[in-house]
Amino acid sequence: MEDRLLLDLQKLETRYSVGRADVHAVRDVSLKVHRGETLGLVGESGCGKSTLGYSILRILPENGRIVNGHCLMEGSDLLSLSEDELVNYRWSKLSMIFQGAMNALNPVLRVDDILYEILRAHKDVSRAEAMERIKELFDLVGLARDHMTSYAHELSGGMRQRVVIAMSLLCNPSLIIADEPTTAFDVVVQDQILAALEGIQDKLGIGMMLITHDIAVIAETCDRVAVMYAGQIVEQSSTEAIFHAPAHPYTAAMLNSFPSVRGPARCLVSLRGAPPDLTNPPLGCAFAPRCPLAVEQCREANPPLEDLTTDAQHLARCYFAGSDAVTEAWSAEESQTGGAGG
Amino acid sequence: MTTLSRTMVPEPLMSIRAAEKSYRLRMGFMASLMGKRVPEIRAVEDVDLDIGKGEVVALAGESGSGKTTLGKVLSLLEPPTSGSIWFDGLQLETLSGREKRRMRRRIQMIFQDPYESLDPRFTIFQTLHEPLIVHGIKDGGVTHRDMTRDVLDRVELRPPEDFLDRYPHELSGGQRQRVAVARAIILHPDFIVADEPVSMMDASVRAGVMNMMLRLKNQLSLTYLFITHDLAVARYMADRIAIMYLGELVEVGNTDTVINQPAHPYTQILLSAVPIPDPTYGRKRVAVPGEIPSPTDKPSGCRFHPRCPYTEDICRHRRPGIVPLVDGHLARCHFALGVQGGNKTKKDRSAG
Repeated sequence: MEDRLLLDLQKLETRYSVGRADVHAVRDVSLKVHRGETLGLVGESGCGKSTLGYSILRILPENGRIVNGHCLMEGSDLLSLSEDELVNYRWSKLSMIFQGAMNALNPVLRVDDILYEILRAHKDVSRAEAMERIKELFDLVGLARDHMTSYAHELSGGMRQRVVIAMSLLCNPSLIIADEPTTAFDVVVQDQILAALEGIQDKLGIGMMLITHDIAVIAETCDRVAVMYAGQIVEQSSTEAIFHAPAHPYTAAMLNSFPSVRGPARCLVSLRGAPPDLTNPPLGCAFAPRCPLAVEQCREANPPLEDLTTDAQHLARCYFAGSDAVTEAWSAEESQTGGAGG
Repeated sequence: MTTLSRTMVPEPLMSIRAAEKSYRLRMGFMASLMGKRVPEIRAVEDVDLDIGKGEVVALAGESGSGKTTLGKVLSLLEPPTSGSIWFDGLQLETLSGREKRRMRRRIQMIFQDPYESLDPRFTIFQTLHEPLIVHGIKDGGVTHRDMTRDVLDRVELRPPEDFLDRYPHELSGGQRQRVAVARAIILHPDFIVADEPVSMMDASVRAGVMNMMLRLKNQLSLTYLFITHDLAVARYMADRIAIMYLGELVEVGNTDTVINQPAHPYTQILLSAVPIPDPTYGRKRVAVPGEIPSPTDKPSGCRFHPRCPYTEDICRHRRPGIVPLVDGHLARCHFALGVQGGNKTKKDRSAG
């Protein structure tokens, strides 16, 4: 596994200055992504998942800064590269599909010219070579070649998103970070985009980091999952383990808050309260105020990310990790209300 | 052609018959001088639906299917172009202005985006107070302040005093939507049209709002038309599901039946596209060619035929009527029974 290691994030800390205070958006995050693997990064809005993506690419907004940690990509630390050196990494080793990017395509250029510009900026290619590459990618993401000469406004949202996916692949990156790539779409189009992403993974075997709040999308597309809460990874494991044996109460709550069209009808769990204010992160477990299991210890000291296996296959940041209490934590909750649906 | 007499709805609170809503598109001055015809969009076409007292009916479909337009018609925000709507025995089109205003108290709407539907310059109290003033509710024995406190308590914004003097920007998205629900129930309505009320929320917040809405429905004897694009949400909320495609209802039935034995090919495709939050489920993906066409240019015959895996000649030429199946289950498809039973062979076609 280690020789397939692509991205190795170590103890990453990212903060935003807001007025005189600092928002601790990403706190002590360590993650690995391997070649041929899709890692799902899941959490509620504001938990820091997009900030983590921006930190890896070093495209944080003005008030954001990385205060600590390493981001090793094939051996070099992206955080210590100069801006010039970093340019060689963006697009060609590491690219990102931004949330809503399909609405930001240049309206006055044809789609093939948009892609050609990017390719030309990074590689010494002739227009003919570039067009060949673009044709290949259109086939890969399931877009008809006729659309190469279209303008963005002539394409539907789903088609534009596929253009953006093709764009991210232009320079053969070994890792793609996709930030909520399916969120804005209806279910049928969402499914087409998921199929395109899965197709890419099958054919190219690159590494992929899928940032989303939709656990159904995670269940179907990811090999491993990292669950984020209040800027920290609270649980990390294989997709199967996360869904069938969640070790953190937050993960369990998330799974129980999601309706499905299949399986038995059941009551959904909702969380009371809100995530903590990250200008002043709590000393104890960030989830404690909303957690039915919380005891004194939880409020006093933040639990470490503990290894429930021997080889770091399942990590969880909870004093009760792995005990039955976690899976049972929500069964008593919300019993007074119920779904009407069959 | 489309009789719904077999529908098993006890005591319909609202009945819609042959409702249609068209919009005229604007066209350029030159085009109008040249005598071109004004293009028309039939956003809602030929809709028949009964909604029973105390029922939750989910209206589901992709964007552009006309579900919001139908919601606006049913909440009296827009008059239908033709057809009729009965509410509690009264035909709405025949009502006088004064009667209509009284009716508006009984029918409320909740919108998708609580960031836009709440006035940012109003405190929560002012937001909740406004409908009381508009409808001339007496500020008497039970004061307006008491009424606003009561509805905030009902939507679980507690203690209410802490919320009355705050502004929307001080609340989270979930709390704002709760305020929108409070505003909808303060006039004691019978019927609420909720247009994608939970689609902008995180899962745990969404679950809380859905549970609250179901509880309020029971406590206040409400009836909901719950508009959503998410069939998993529809399944959780609704007693019955109505599926819309290009302005038509293509399938209506009990939640269990529509989810487990869909009779319209479009419903089957929609369901097969929903990701399942279980990594071992192994969902089979059904490729659908193309995307929903523009309502200005609807296909001939069955509106779904260009994307349907079962299309035959008749589908291209003749628009299917409503086919009644068991238990008030209805589907607008020439081959509904065969599609539902899985005895209809699919045409081999590649995804476009």
